[in-house]
Amino acid sequence: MICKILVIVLVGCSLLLAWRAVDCFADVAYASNGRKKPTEYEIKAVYLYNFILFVKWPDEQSSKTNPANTKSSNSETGSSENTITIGILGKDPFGDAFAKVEGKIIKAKNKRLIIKRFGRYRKKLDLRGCQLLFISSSEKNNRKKILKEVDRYPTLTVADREGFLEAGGMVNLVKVGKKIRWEINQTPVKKAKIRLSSQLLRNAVRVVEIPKDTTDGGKK
Amino acid sequence: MLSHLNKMTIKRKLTLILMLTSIAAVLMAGIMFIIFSFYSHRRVHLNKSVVLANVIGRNCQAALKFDIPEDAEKILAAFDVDPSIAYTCIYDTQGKIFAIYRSSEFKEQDIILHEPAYIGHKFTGRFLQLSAPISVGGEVIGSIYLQDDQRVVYSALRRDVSILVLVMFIAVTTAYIMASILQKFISRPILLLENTARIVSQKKDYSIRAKKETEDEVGVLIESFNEMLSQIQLQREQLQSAFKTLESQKKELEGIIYVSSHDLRTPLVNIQGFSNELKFSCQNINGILTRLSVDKETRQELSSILNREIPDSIDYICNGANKMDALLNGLLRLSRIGQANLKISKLDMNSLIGEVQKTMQYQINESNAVVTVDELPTCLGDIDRINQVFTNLLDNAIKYLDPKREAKIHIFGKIQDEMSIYCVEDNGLGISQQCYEKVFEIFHRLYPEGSVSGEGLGLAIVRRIIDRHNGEVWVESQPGKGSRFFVSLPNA
Repeated sequence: MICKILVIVLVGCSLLLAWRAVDCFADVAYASNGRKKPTEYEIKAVYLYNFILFVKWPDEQSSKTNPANTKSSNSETGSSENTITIGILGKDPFGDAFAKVEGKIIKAKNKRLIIKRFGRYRKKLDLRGCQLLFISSSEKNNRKKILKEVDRYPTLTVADREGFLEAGGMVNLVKVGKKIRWEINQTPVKKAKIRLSSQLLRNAVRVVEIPKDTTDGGKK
Repeated sequence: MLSHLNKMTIKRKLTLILMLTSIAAVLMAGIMFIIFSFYSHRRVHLNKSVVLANVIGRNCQAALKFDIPEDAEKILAAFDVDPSIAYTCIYDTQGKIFAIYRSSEFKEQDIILHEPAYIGHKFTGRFLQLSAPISVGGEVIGSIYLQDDQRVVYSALRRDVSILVLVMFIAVTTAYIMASILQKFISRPILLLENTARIVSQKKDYSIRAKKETEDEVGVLIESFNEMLSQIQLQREQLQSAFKTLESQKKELEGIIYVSSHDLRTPLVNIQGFSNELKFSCQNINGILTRLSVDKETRQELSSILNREIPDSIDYICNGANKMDALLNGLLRLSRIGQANLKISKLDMNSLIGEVQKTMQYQINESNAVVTVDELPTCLGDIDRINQVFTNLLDNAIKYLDPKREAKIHIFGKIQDEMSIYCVEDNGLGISQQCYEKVFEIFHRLYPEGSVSGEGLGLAIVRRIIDRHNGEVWVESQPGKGSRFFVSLPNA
């Protein structure tokens, strides 16, 4: 008699647990889909991906590629001319936010998206070949050094920490109320010969032209 | 309406036809053009709107991608530059409204409900509904919808219609002028012919000819018309000469009849006279015979010859001579009718018939006939001759009565088409249809061997007299029932 009750209780509990587990799983699934409330870094990942659509790098400008081109892509694999790389420097806050789009072809650019995770900054790091470089807040002390190094490359530098633009960065993600917005420093953008769509400039919280700060020692 | 059309002159008909033709053609062309123009304008406007929608849509890519509706609304607000756009909105991929623009000039009810999923264009009433996708990198991120009242198209249409009205006005005027001038080519020859025909008909002058001006069918018509006139002229001349010949021949014949009958009667006098003499001579011989002494046989023979054979023969001779006399007399009278002049006057028919009755009173009483006379219309004629006509008719009615019943003779008349028509109706023996015309012939008698007397000239005389009066005489009859003799004379 007691055995039966125990069994029933056990079965009931496991069912309950299973249901909750499915729920959690669904939560996770939703989260990564973006249907249920996305996290801050999931949104920022989407933004980084979207920026690519509204930015023209120097090598594109000569060949007149149309960002909204819907022609079916000829499948070219592997060669560096046909990839767009997002580099993440420092502690990776994105997790698997890029999972859905990593390795896939960006139709607008007809290039494959590659995510390079560099980890923390060190001297011998090769930061070449990144179209977009996200500098995590963990590297805030190395900001200037990093920016100086990628200065010569046509790389769009993005961060989400105060003072990034003053330090010479190009795009800084900011929070406006509940929404994520951005601010732009045109000087390094122009120096790198990167072209930003008017739609990006128009919707930026602020657009400034701050030349490279040479006096700042590092701390901000 | 159609009768009105029928009465129009050729000139007017032709002008009208020419005008209507050109106006119809111009109108048809104008309408076709307006229709074509309208659809063309509409398509042009549609294409422009599509471009506009796409351009605006492209500018909203970032707004959609980065979820910034305020940016999209700012962009849509620029639509107020075009007053014909009533409403625009941007949908996201879920079909939810992302941003809206609504023109203040349009009322709430003008906005048409729209299904977000529909991509393309629709014409709803006067509005154009257009929906285009917004995409980035081949991926559709939303759609833009706009509703435009196409006022450019409709104002172009109004303008086109006004132009058409003006053009039609000019076309009508031009058509009228051209038609009036050009119709002459057809109508003039026809009118010329019509005029000539009318003059010929009115004046009865067949020597006039129509002038041929054109070489077409009307020309042929005029030629034929002139040909016919020539023929008529010739025939008339022939008729006239034939008539003259006939006239003179008739006069000649009548003269011969008169003279012959007159001269033929002279020997008859001798025949009749000397026949009587023979009769007397026979009586004398008879007297002498009584004094002679002869044997009985010889006496009887002589007596029979003297008293019977000779007188009988003489009687036959006399009868024959008398008959011939009567016939010749009749012929004489007949021929006289053609020669003497008529004295035409207005005749009171009732008094005339009364005279006739008086003259024939003896015959009427003898046959126990009852004669009734209605109120008769007056007429124009020679009083003696017409008296003779009705005397003959009444005489016939009495002569040809049916012995099985009481003779009833009824005389009545009426006026018809400016002629006075009289009828002598009897209930006598009647005449069969085959003999209707024969009875009017000379010497025709219905029962030649019968008991009726007469020479067969009565009706011939009647016809001759009535013909000279420009009237007619005819008979309707039923054998065994009676006859009706009709006489028509000019009404007074």
